[in-house]
Amino acid sequence: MDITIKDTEKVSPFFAFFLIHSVQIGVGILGFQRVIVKNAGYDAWMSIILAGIANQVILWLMYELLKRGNGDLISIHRKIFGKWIGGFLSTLFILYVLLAATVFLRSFTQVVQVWVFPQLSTWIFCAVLLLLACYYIVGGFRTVAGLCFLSVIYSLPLLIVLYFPLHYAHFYNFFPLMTHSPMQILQSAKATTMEFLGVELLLLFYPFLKEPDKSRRWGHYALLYTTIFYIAFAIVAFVYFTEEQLKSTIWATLSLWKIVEFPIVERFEYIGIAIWVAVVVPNLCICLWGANYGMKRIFSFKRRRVLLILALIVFLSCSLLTSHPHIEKLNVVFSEIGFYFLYTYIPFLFLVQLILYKVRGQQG
Amino acid sequence: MKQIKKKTKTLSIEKQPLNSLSDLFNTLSSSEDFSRFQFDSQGTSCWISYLKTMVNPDFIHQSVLSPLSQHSFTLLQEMKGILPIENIIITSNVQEIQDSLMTGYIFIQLYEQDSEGILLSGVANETRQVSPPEVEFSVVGPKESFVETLDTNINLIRKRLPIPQLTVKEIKVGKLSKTRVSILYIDGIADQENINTAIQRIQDIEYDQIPDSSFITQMMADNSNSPFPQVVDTERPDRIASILAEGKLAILVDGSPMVLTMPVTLVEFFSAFEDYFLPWHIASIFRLIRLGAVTFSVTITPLYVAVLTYHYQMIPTDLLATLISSRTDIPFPPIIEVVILELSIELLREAGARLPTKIGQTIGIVGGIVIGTASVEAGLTSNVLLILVALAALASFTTPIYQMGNTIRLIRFPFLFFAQLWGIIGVSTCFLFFLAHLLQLTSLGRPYLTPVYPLRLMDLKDALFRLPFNWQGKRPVQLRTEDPERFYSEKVTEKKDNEK
Amino acid sequence: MRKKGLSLLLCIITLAACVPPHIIEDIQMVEVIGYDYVNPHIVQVTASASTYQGSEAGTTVHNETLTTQAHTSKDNRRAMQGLSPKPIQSGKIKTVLYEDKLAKRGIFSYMDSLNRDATVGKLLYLAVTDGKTQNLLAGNYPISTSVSKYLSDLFEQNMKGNFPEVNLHSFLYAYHAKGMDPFLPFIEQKGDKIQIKGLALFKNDHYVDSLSFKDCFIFKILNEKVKLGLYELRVKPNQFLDIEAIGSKVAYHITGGSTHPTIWIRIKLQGMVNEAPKFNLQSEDSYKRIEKKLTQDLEKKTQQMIKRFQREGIDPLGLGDQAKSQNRHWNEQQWKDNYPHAEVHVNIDTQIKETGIKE
Repeated sequence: MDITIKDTEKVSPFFAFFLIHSVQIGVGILGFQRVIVKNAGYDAWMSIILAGIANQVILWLMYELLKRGNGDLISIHRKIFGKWIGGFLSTLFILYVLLAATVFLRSFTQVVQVWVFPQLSTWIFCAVLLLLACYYIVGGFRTVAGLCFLSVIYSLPLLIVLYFPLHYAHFYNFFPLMTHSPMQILQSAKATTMEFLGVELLLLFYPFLKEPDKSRRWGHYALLYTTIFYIAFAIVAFVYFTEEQLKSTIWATLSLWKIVEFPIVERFEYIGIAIWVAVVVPNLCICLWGANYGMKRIFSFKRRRVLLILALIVFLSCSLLTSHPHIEKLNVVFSEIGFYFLYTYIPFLFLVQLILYKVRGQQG
Repeated sequence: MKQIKKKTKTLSIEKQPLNSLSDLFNTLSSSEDFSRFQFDSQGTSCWISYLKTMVNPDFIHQSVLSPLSQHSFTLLQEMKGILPIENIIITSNVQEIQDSLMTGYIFIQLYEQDSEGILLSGVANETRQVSPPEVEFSVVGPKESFVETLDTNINLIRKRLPIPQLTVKEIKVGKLSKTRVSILYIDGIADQENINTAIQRIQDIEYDQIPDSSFITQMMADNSNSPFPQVVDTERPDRIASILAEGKLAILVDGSPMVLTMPVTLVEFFSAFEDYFLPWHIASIFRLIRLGAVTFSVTITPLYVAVLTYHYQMIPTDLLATLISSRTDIPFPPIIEVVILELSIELLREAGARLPTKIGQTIGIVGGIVIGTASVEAGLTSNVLLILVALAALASFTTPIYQMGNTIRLIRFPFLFFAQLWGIIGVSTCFLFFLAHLLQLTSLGRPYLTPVYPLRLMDLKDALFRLPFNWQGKRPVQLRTEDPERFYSEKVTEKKDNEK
Repeated sequence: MRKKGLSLLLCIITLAACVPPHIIEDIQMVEVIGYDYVNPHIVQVTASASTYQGSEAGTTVHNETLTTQAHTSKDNRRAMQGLSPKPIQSGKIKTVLYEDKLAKRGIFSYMDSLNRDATVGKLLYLAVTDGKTQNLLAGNYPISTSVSKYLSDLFEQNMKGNFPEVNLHSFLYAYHAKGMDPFLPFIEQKGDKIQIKGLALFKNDHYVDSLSFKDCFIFKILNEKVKLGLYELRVKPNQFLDIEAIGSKVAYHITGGSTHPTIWIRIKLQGMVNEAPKFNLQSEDSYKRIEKKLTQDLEKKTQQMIKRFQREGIDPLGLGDQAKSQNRHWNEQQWKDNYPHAEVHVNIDTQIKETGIKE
């Protein structure tokens, strides 16, 4: 490994599962059904499977990239493009990660503002959650990994709750199959990418895994689990709502939770959102941690000071986004950038690295 | 591993080392209980010095003066042969003489100005009898508990682990109290790194007086600002023996009946030693009940505040009538009501703890029942909340370790604050803050949340539930012991009675 | 320095992060809303809320109604606020009623505010009333503690029995789906009780027709699985049998697409005889006779009902929605044109299992 990291900061490869999965499940799952139904209608479950398979391929490419690069994305950039251009490209990646953090935080704040507390002031909620994230990051990578692990376990009951809407299910909603053209299904698959974004953070925390090669299968399992998660939520939404209804429901998953009733509690969506805080904070943590670590690697800044500045940047961006259309636009921008990064830049980098190593290998 | 910073200044006491014996005797003679006299016998004489209050007078008469009066001696060596006492030291080291005299040794010189003399142990300490434990009482199982004397305590442990590998390392801590602190571990099982860290931390302690083992806890803790205790203190010798067999360290402090164990994890604070005396399924259920009770105790009043203040939609319609009618006459919002009740319960507890026993019981009953009922009737609190607060207070006492009970009572208040701020989402956020703290907490350098995180599936067998003994063949992985096997599992395949 | 910063932060959070509370005894929880017709532009809204008073004997519940008139639903709320001493909160709304006159003109516009509001649940009961909702909500019903409880309990336990299951979600589902029309309970005030008069049938969101309560059983076995229902079977002009349905399943098969649709409905019904005052049920073929009679009766009634729906051009059973899932090139307009002429075949398979503890 080109980078030396103390053993006390590394985590066992098993945790790659929780790290990757928890970054992918974030705010997107609360309202993704409307987005994917736009083009492919109720055939969109095939889009999810397609996106999942594509992501598995990209993950494999990433692992190959990292294994050959022997470090993280920043060292790969340095080796291939040299110090200055490599540094510039890495900084762009860091900015992308910061954008991800902003999108996650602001979208979740919006959910809380619409569903629970309309008068909640954005900046203070964002500030407290950012403070919480900083508290985790200060403890090192192990703390962040621990948070991801616990949050995945803590949010398992939410899968069980999916059983309740099935009482009103119209299973025949799926039929007839394949009423949409492959083009439409592919378009929906592209729209699904935003939900799978997060796997690229592997490029930053790869050196923190003990025996990174062993973590490969856990990474693939994580993607599989995420895909199953999304399919489950999509299927339940499809059988519960009709297509027209779904197209006008912004947060379909939350609307599904509205009808869950227990003898002690009536409206489950409040509990669901409270549990969801523990799902969104890991996203925020890993993104901020990645940005912090990346900055330290590129510019050799002091970790804590950079952390404060990064948190401040995210905080300011969140506070500036005030209305729903702005947030939607940012989501779209983020989704587009992520899509092109994942599906064009990573393969491009992989090929360049392959060629360069072959060439250098022949020379040296 | 945190290090306690060494002070650069020295205590005034240290500035005046007593260089000679005469200085020592001069200082001591200002105390009434210092006795120094010349004893003549058979033509020879010797000077005997000791502290009257530290030495048993019968011992002086029978074991010292009586043999001395029957023999004559010219050399200290001869005296050593005459006196029927073990471990007599001949020394001229002033520091050693000073330390020994202060702890109840007798110093015998041949001549008044001699710098050399004999030291014999005549310690007679007032000590309590071994009695049943008060804090960790168990219905079944042994009922011995530690006392204040270090030697008796070590005796109680040694008789349960009669192996030569049980090592006792002693350190003196405290400038004025010179308290003997012993670290026990089983050589060959306990991890060497743990032992070295513990010894180093205790040696680094700079303080003047150590009256109790809890002082040591606070001074050598990884994070003394944390509300969560990082050391388990217990008063049961059987628990210590079992803990030592697992591979941990035990720290005994002279003068304290509570023995410390390190390193510990969060789940150990919820296991009572009685769990091992009961069948495993019953014990597991009790452990889960304890964990559930603690979660309930911490979150129920914040949830009450959150739901009643912000989330009225969550209340089932049938329950709504009860809750609203119980709150209609109350002038305060739920948060003030809860804070008043919580503070009253804390008041009752503190008062009950400080009052002498006889009055304490009456006040407890009076306070609890009368004040509670009266406040409901006066319309200051609602009866629903009273039940919840009382249950929560009760549930916080299910933890077998007293320190953790205090912690639970304390961490309820941040939850209340956050619940008032952001309702149920605030409760969730507060929980995440505590989780961040717990994830970063270590005990003797080992992560506090093992075996949940880092995940050690082998250790989970004795964490949240207690699986049968034949499944616990290996010692906890987290302790990185040098000898992981407890017993040979091949021999434990079947329980068969001898067939004839 | 760090401690000062933390305490400053704590003060800021305490002061700035507060959200307006809704302490339960300080709010007016509206539980039932009724919409009445005034004129084409103005709607009258009546809200029923319960006030709780604690006393020695326990909690006493009083019903209060607030009535206002305005253009939109939310403007009515503003007006109602002017009548109420406590802030009105809509989180506990359980039932929404519409006057039949209003329902005839379309109710979807009034549902928009319910759908958009995040504090309102989804399992609301909706109903159409015969007469003004204001009168119904202001009535006194000693049989239950409050109007809202009466209505929600009434609907809940009837929907477990003879009445088809319907709530806000199923109404919206049926409204939005192509090839499906919604339906709602039809209730009226009868003295000091509220009675379910039957089923109100809608075309899109306009109320067009109603079924009697008795016919609701027929509708229910056509629409969904029945777990418990009671049906009176007429064997001879003056001889009646009572059958308790203990399980039924329904399956639809639609062939011919949207151009020449043919509808095949298959129902499996299991029942037991509840009341048979003048019958001898001992012989073996008495079961078979009852089954045959029941099958004939039900088949005739169901055919009639569907023909009625076809005549009126409504589709509360969702046959169009089923057709869409079973035929690839389904067209909504074609279906609308051809549905009234579609052939309907109903095939019912009955099985009488028991006759109670007496023969």
